Amino acid sequence: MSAPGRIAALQIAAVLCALLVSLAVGAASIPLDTLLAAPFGGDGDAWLILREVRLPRALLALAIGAGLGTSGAALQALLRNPLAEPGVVGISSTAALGAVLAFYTGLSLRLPLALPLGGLAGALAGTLLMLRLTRGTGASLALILAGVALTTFASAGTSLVLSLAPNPYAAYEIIFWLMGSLADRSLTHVALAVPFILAGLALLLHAARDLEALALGEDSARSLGVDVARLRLAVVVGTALAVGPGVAVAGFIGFVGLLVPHALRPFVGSRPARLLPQSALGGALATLIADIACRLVPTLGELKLGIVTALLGAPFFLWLLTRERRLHA
Amino acid sequence: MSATPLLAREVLVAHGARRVLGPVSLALAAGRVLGLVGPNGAGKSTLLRALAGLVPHAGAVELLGRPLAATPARVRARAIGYLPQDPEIAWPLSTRELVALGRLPHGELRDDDAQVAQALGAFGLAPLAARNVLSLSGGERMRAHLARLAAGAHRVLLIDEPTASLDPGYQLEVLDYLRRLTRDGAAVLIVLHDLPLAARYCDELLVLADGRGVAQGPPAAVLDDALLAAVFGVRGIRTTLDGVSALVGIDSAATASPVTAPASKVMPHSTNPAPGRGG
Repeated sequence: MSAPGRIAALQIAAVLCALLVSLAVGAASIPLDTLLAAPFGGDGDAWLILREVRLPRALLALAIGAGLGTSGAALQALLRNPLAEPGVVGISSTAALGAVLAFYTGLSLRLPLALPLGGLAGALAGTLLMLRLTRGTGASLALILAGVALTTFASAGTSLVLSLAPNPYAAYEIIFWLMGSLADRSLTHVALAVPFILAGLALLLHAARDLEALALGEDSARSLGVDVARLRLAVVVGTALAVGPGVAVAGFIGFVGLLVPHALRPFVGSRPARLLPQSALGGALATLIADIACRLVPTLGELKLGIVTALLGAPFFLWLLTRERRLHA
Repeated sequence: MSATPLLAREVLVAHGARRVLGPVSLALAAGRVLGLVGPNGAGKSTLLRALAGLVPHAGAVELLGRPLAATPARVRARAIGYLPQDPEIAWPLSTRELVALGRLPHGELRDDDAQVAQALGAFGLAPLAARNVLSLSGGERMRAHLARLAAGAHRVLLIDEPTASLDPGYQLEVLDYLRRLTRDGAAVLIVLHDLPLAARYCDELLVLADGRGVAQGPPAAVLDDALLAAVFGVRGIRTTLDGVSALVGIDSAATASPVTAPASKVMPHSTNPAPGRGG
C-alpha cells in the first residue's frame, strides 16, 4: 500500500475507534456489550441514550470536523496560503450572527429550531453577499478582502446584539453558545446540518483535481484548461455549505480547519487530490477526540468544544508561525 | 501540411482607455522558433498572455485554423503550452509530479504515465524524478518546467524568459532542450531578454517597442544598427573572434555613432522593419 493509502487506512481505523469511544463516554456509564447490542433490540434505555444523546453528538462531530478539515485544505490550496482557514470567507461569522439574532429576538425561546435555522439563514446570506462582493473580479485577494469585510461586519453585528441584550442572562447564554458545543444536540440538528455539510464536502472533493493545477499559479492553471473563476466559486460555496450549517447547530469550533491540513502535510504531502480527503478524515478525528475530551475532563460544567479546539490549536498555530519564519529567514 | 498552428492579426490589448499592446500581427510555424525581443515594458509578456487566452484582447487569433476565442478551454489547453516568467511553485512537488501536471488537459493525472516518463527521460530528469522541485538548481528546475510542456504534447508553446536569472551555461542548456520540443513539430514563441542569445538561437525575431511590432525577420536582418539604436539604445552586436556576441553600448561609442536617439523618444508607428525616428 502507498504511504497516503496507509495513512488513510490508519485514519479510518482511528475515526471508527473514536466514534465508538464517543458513543461509550458520557454521564451514564453503559457497558460496551450493552452499547453494541442496543440498536438491535437490546437494552431499551441504552438505546434511548444512544439515539437521543450520543449518536447526534458523534455524527455532528464527524460531519462538522470533516467539513472544517476539508474546507481548510481547499482554501489553503486555492489561496496558496498556508494560513488560510474556513473563517477567511466570513461564512462562520454570518452564520453566528444569524443564530445570535434568533436568540435576541426571542424566536429561539418559542421555537427551539429557530436557532439553527437562524444560523443557516445567516450562512446563506453571507454566501450570497460573498458571491456578490467577489463577482467579476478575478483575484484571490478580492476573496480575502471580502471575507475580512464580511467577518468584521458580522462580528460587529454580534457584538451589537450582545450589548443590546435585554438582560445579562440572555447575553451569557449567547456568549456560551458562541463558544461552540455539541452537548444536548438531537437528531433534528443532525438532519438540519449534515445534508448541507455532505453537499459541501462533495463540492470541495470534486474541486480537488482542479486545485492540483494551482500548484503552478493561476496563470499556468488557466493555461492548463482550469476555469479558475469557477473553481473559486466552487470552493467558496463548498466551504459555506461545509462550515455554515456546523456553526448554525454547534457554534464556533476554531482551529480545526487550519490545523488539520498542516498536521497531515508531513505525511501525505500538499497535493490537494490527496490532502483534501485526508483532511476530511483528520478533521473528523480531531473534532471527535476534542468532543470526547470535553466530556472526560472533570470540570464544574462540561468544557466547551470550541474552547478545547482553540486551546490545542493556538499553540500549534504559533509553533507553525515561528517555524515558517525560521524557514524564510 | 495542416493550418498554421497560431496566427494573430492586429492583436490589441487595452487596460481601460490605455493601450498596452498592439496592434501586433504574427504567424507561428510548426518546428520554428520565433523570438520576441524588445525593451522592458514593450508588451512582450502581455502578447504572450493574450495569445495564451489569459487576457482579453481585440483582433483575431486563430489556433489551428479556428478562432481562439471560440475554442473550448480544454482544447486550447491541449494545443497551447504556456510557461510564465519565474513560474510559481505554490507547494512542494516532486519533479515527476510537476511534469505530470502537463497531462492535466488530456484528462490524465497519473505519475506513471508513459508521456511523463518519456519527458523526464528526454530532459535528463529521470535521476531527479523523486526530488522536491524546490530543492533543484535554477537550471534543473527550468528543465523540469520544459519537461512539463513536453509531457503536454502541445502544438504551440509560449515561453516567457526561460533563461532569466540563469548562468550562461544553463541558458544555453535550457535553449538546447527547448530545441528538442521544436523537433517534434511544436511552434515556439519565446521571449528572450538577451539579444545576442536571441540572435543566435531563434529562427526569426519579432521586435516589440511601445506595444507595437516594429520589425520581424531573420535575426541578422532585423538587428541592424539603426534598429538597435532606436529601440534598445545600443550601438550594435559585436561578434568577437571566439564567437561570443556582446552588445556595444552607445555611451562607449561617444559621438562616433550616427544614431544616438534614446529609446524613450522613439515612437515607431508601422511594422516596417526599418523604424525611423518618429514621434
